[in-house]
Parts: sequence; structure tokens; C-alpha cells
Amino acid sequence: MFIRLAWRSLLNRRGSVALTFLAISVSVFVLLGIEHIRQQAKFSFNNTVSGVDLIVGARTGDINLLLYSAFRLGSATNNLTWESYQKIAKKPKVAWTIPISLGDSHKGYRVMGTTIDYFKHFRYGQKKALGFTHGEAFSEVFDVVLGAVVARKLNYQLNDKLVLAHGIASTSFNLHDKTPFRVIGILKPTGTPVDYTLHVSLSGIEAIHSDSALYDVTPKTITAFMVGLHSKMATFHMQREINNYRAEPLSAILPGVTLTQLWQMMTIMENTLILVSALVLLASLLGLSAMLLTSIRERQREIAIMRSLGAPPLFLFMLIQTEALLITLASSVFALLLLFVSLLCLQNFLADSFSLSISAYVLDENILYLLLSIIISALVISLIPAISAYSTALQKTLNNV
Amino acid sequence: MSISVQNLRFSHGNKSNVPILDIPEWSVIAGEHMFLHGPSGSGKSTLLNLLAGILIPSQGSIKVLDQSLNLMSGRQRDKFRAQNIGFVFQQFNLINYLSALDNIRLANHFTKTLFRRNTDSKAKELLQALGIDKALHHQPASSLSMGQQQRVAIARALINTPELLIVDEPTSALDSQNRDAFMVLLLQIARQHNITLIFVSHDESLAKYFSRTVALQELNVVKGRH
Repeated sequence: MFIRLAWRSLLNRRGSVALTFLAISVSVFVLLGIEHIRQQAKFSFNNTVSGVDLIVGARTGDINLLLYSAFRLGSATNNLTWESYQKIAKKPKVAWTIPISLGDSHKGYRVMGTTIDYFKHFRYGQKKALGFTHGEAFSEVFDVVLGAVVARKLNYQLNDKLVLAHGIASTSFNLHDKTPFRVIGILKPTGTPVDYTLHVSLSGIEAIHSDSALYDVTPKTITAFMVGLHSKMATFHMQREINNYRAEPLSAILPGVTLTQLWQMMTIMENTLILVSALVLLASLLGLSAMLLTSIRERQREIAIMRSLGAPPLFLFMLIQTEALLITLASSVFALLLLFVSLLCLQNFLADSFSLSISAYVLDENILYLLLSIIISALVISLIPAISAYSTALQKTLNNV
Repeated sequence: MSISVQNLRFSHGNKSNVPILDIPEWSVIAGEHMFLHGPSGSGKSTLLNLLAGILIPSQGSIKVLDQSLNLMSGRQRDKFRAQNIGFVFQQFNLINYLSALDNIRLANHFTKTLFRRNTDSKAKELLQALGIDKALHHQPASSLSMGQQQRVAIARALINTPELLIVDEPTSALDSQNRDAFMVLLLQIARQHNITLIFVSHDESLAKYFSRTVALQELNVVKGRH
């Protein structure tokens, strides 16, 4: 009876209730959306590289090096020489290396030149190795291994031929059309930028940029390389050694540490976004409170009738709280559905533009805690009209009926 | 004894030395149908609020159904009112957005759990007995005619089988034909359920329906203040 009374009472004021419902829905949508994307972005970034001790590139900012080498975001300002790479790769402390050469693309997807070691040593998520859905790793100069999304989106099968373009714009007039590549393998989905990358050999990269038909395909420069060490203990020593490398200026970063620096930089922006959305939510909840408070002014007679029927003031207090709870719950459910649908629609855009793999399934522990705190906030703010209903009920006599 | 009032004085908190009501003694025996009349401002509504336990006397005692309202807490008085006293008001005062049935259910909601058994079937029986068609049971009160609302209000007042029914100016909005029909129906129900009836009105022509008539001015020793 209690819930029915609250529900019917809300339906009776459907105009103002609908507007309040929309205001809260939008603010919950914004708050949950920001929190979900923030979490997913962190998860996605943290999952991209695993087990790499150092990333080495030409002298640049740590974050910039991490972004272009691991996340394919932005561009390298300079390359490092093949000789420097080989010297460092041969050091006794180094267990393995993965050279990376970036700068070309295919229909908007980045091309990465590397060696067969990439498929042996690269790890993502919880130290997961790369796997193949079809085919195998490249062995010839003009072989290409496609990331899962590239193959799916561009509908490529094994043995299809494709042409790479110079530069990373989605439309390029400088095509390497004399040297088509053959699809030799398609990787399993990883949920990382690997899915959006075409992988070719360093020789392939060198070959398409060479003018001579009788080319020497030994690389002259590379963009960066990942390093795995025999012992983690040697990491800082190795980093210092590379940063002090005399032959050319190099930067060596620890991916985990640099990622933490990146999050620290982002914290101010994140907190600002969360603060703004929390303030928007607060404004909506105050709107809810104002709506309920106004309704009490309109319901003086109703309150007096209930008192005559034996309703204690606490009943009126609880009725207002229940109405606030119903509106907030309905708004939260609607906001969650809206967020789910929006993320389904935006998933591809976020992946293509920012290499972010964002799940549309928003319900997780953090979001549930956030929803709980929204509901508690709504109940706390609704104490104002609820207390007003309580004191109104105490003052009502049969004269008001 | 259904109602027993001894040395009752009531004044508003901020005017404690200016009493509105001062009734040395008054009683109503169980099953009695009493017509209480008096001009506007004579303190009728204050007396009803005191009998309902919504207001508490400044001095003296009120016993309703042998229970001393003075000694009860606010919550106990609310519960007592819900279980033992039925009300019918001037405008019948149903909650407009609730159905006829929900208005009756609501009156039952505030009683002890024991009283909440078979509410729906009891409410439907009452509505049928009062001539409210089944099709109207789930209609919002606002869509019912005046006569239908009146009957739903009576059903609501009777759902908890009260021992005391307080009826406050219920006929002031009715024409003479509907007024007479209402009075016949009300008294018939009161007799049928052996309910003590306090009928309050300023219309003295209704006195003919009652076995006992009391003018509030005769009870209240506070004169000329209203």
C-alpha cells in the first residue's frame, strides 16, 4: 500500500515529476559515463603492455615515448639508429628486444614494422601472449599480419593483397602501390591497440621506402624498441646506462612508472570532470527536493486526511523519502540504459579515434557504489521536504480536512 | 461509556490563559446517536480534534471507549484513532488520485496487522452494500460522482469496524433530497453495526434523526469568545 501510494502520488504530479526525472537521469548519465570511461581507459591502457621492462626511443618526453610506442598515439619526433639498437640489444643484461618502426598506415590504421621477436615476446593484459586466429607470423619481406579489428573492419582474408601508405592520415596520396603486401596472419582480439595495427617486418618497411629495385633491406633507423631484461634488478641500472648513451641522445622509460605519471597528470582533469558532474547531480537533487517541498504545500489537505485516518507523522516523512527514492531509482535505471546504448553506439568511434576499448557493460563494483552514493545523497537531500511533511503532519488537525 | 469528559479545558499553547473549551462534564453512552450543534466558532472542530486524539487537552481528561487519551503517546493515539474511530467529513475528502478501493485500503493500513486481514474482500463487500458497482472500485476517486464519493467515504470510515463514528457537517454540500437519503443510510449503518455516532452540524433541522441533541454552548462554559 505504501509503495502504491507513493507511486500514485507521483503519477498524479507527472508533469513536474517527469522534468525532475529527466534532470536526474541526465546528471546520473554524465557522472556514470565519466566514471565508466575513466575506469575503462585506465584498464585498457594498463592492459596494453605487460612484461616489458624498458621502452627506448630517441630523446623525448617520457609520456610522449610511451604514447607513440605502446598506444600508437601521436608521433615520434625522431628515430634512433639501427646501430644503437643493436648495441643495446646485445648487452648481456638484455634478454630480448622488440624493435618498432612506425610512420606508415593503411586506410587509417597504423602500420608497425617489427621483427619475429614481437610475436614471441610481446605480452598484454595478465602476461598473455599474442595468438593467431588464422595464419602465422610474417616470414617474407612483403608479408603482413593484421590485428583482429583491422581484418574484421576491412574484411581481409588470408592471402589478400593490400598497399600501405606513407604517413598516418586516413587518406594519403603517397601510396606504396608498387610493393603490395600479402596477408599472412590474423591475430586474435586483444582489446589493445594491437587489434588496430598492421604488422610487417622491418625489412618490409625498409623495402617500401627504398628507391632502388635491388635494395638493401637492412633497416637504418627505427622508432623505438621494447626491452626485456634477465633480471628486474637491473632495470634502473640499464635505464641510466641508456639515458647516458653517448653515441646519440636516447630515452629509456619504465612503462609502469610512466603510465603512473600519465595518470597523475590526468588526475586534475579527472577530478575536475567528476566535480563538475557531481555538482550537476547535486543541482538536480536539489531540484528534486524543491519539487517535493512544493508538493507538500499542494498536499496540505491530503496530509490532514491521512492524519485523520491515523497516519503518524513518520508515515508522511517516509512517504516523501519513498517518492524521492522512486524517482532516483527510476532515473538511475534510465541513465544506465542510456549509457549502455550510447556506449554501444560510440564503441567503434572511441576505438578508432583513441585506441580505447570501452565495454558497454557498465555495471561493476565501482558503478554500483556510485549508484548507492547517488541514492543516499538523494535521500539525504530529500530530508528537507520529508522533515517539512513531518512537521506539517504534526500541525494538521481535522479543521484542515 | 463511549465518551467521558471530565473538567476538560483547552487553550492554544501561545494563549494558555484564554481557554477555547471548558467542559466540566460530558458523556456519551455506547451505541448512542448524538446530534451536536452550535454556531460557527463555538469550538465544535476543537472538540472533535480532542476526541480524535489529534489535540490533547490543556487540563482534565478525555476517555474514549474507556481509554484515557491523555495517557497515550502520540503514536498510540494515532493507532487508537485508526482502529476505533471512523470519520466522514463535509467534502467526503477522499484522496483524489487513489481508487475507491485504495482509499479504503489506506484507512486500514494504519491499524494493527491483526486488523488488516481480508481487507480487500471486506472493502468490496462494504462498497457493494453501499451500492457502489464493482466497475467503479478501481476508478480514481476524482472520477466518481458526489453521491458515489459520499458512499466510498462511509465505506472508508467503516472498514476498521469502528466503535465510534464522527461525522462532521457531511450534508452541507447536498440538496435536501440527497441529504435525507444520506441521513437514512448513515443511521441505518450505525444501528446495524451498533456504532456510537457523533454527528456535528450547524443545521438544527437534522436533529429529528437523533435520539439525543446537544448544543455545544450548553456544554462549554466558555461563552462569547468565538
